[in-house]
Amino acid sequence: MQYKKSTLFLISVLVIIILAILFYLFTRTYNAPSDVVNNDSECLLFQSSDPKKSCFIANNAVQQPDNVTLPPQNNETLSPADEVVISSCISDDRNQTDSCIKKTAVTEKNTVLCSAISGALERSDCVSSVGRVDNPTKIVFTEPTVNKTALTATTTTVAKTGTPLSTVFTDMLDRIKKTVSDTNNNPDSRFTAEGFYERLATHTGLNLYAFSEYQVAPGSVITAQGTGFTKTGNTLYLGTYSLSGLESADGSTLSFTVPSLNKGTYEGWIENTNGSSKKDDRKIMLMITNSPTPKPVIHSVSPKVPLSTDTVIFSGENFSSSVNVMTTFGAKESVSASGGSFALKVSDLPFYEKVKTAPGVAGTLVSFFIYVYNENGVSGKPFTFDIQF
Amino acid sequence: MNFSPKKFVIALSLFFCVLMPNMAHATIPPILGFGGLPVFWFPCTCSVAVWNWFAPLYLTAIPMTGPMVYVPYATIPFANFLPSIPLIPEEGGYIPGIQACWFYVGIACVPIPAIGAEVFVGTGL
Repeated sequence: MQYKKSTLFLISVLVIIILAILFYLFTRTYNAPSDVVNNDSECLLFQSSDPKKSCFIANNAVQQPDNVTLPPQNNETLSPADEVVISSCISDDRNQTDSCIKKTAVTEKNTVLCSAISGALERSDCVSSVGRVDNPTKIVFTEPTVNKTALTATTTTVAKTGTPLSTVFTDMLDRIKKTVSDTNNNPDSRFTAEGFYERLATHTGLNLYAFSEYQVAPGSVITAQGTGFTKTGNTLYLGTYSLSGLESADGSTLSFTVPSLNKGTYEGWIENTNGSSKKDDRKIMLMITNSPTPKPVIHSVSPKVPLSTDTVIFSGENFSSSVNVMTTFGAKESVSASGGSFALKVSDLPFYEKVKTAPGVAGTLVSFFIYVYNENGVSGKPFTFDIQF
Repeated sequence: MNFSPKKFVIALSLFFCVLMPNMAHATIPPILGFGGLPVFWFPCTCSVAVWNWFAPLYLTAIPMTGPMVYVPYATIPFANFLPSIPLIPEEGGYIPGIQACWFYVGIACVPIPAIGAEVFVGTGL
């Protein structure tokens, strides 16, 4: 076959272009900016004087807008008159007491009353609420910058008084989209998924979270779940007994055969080149028994979509005589159970009052999850359903 | 068989139309925008994170309610540096589907469901 020179030339050019594209695709790497430091432990305080930290804020960089009123300073000492004002709030329920004190502080516009609230964050929230009474709709946001060398915060009032909340947030979504798309052209690990995963992986470390079953028989194969497992060389400790040479394909699970140990409850932990997952305040337990009872599980709820004031009946298995629950609205212990069911009033949960009075909740469906746990173990997955507020 | 450059180019183009999308880095979910008012929070006692429940929560123009997880060493905070404070508005980017919050329930840790993990967040005052 004979080809014209021009045809051969075109084919050669095409092949070179294709090879160049392949070379670029397979050899490109993402290089994090050198000024983004992995060790951001100082950023737990949300601010750093080191320009290389991602939370650096230069002196005088934040300009206080004229139309923002700071909440008044909090004098920590309650006067006898203040104590009288909040005396009607005192009750056995700490949440109710704090909620009542906050409402009184806002009504009286007195931040001193906030010092009677338990918890630093709740006290701050109370003080901020008193300050916001005078400026209910002035919301100040900060535009994040894509400056790679230092974080400089500029404070801009982006919502004028009276702007509906929905408009504020939909405008915000457009700004976020722009920020994220800008990083495609100007990669900054503070705004990229890769950067987030890198920071997450660097600080997560070795952890053991749970075993797939709590009560197990010797010889059964179960899975340990956590983070920081190595491909090879993991050692599982059950009390003083150890199982070495365990492998993990994905770094977060590893399977093993339960050894023939004496019946009893053992603390488990993993050791490998990343250290040890043993934590005295968070012991991960395993019960070895010849007749294991499966962990509790919820199969259904009644009503299917309960009102927030309803008593919800949960049906399932292995509840024994009582269960403890961990839910969207907090935890509750020792809930009586019998015949494969237990009843729970959502309004009895710790955070229910906060949810009920939250803006935009009335009249909506709220997604709710629940775990149950008792002497038989912890339910493997959360049971989820909607609650009508 | 006659070799046709035109057919060769077309065949090569079709080949790469199939191959190249599979070579894209599509395994990491994108960063999406969010904003809203946190109502309450609790600490993730097994992982270093804070679980925040928002109402309203804006992922689109339609408000909803739901939880987001703030991870102190991975989420980048911006002014006014008040994340997770109830009723102080927040806005930022999140990655959906990341399980970053684990809570201790006496014998094990359980994953607490959330819409996603915050990648960066700025707050009001």
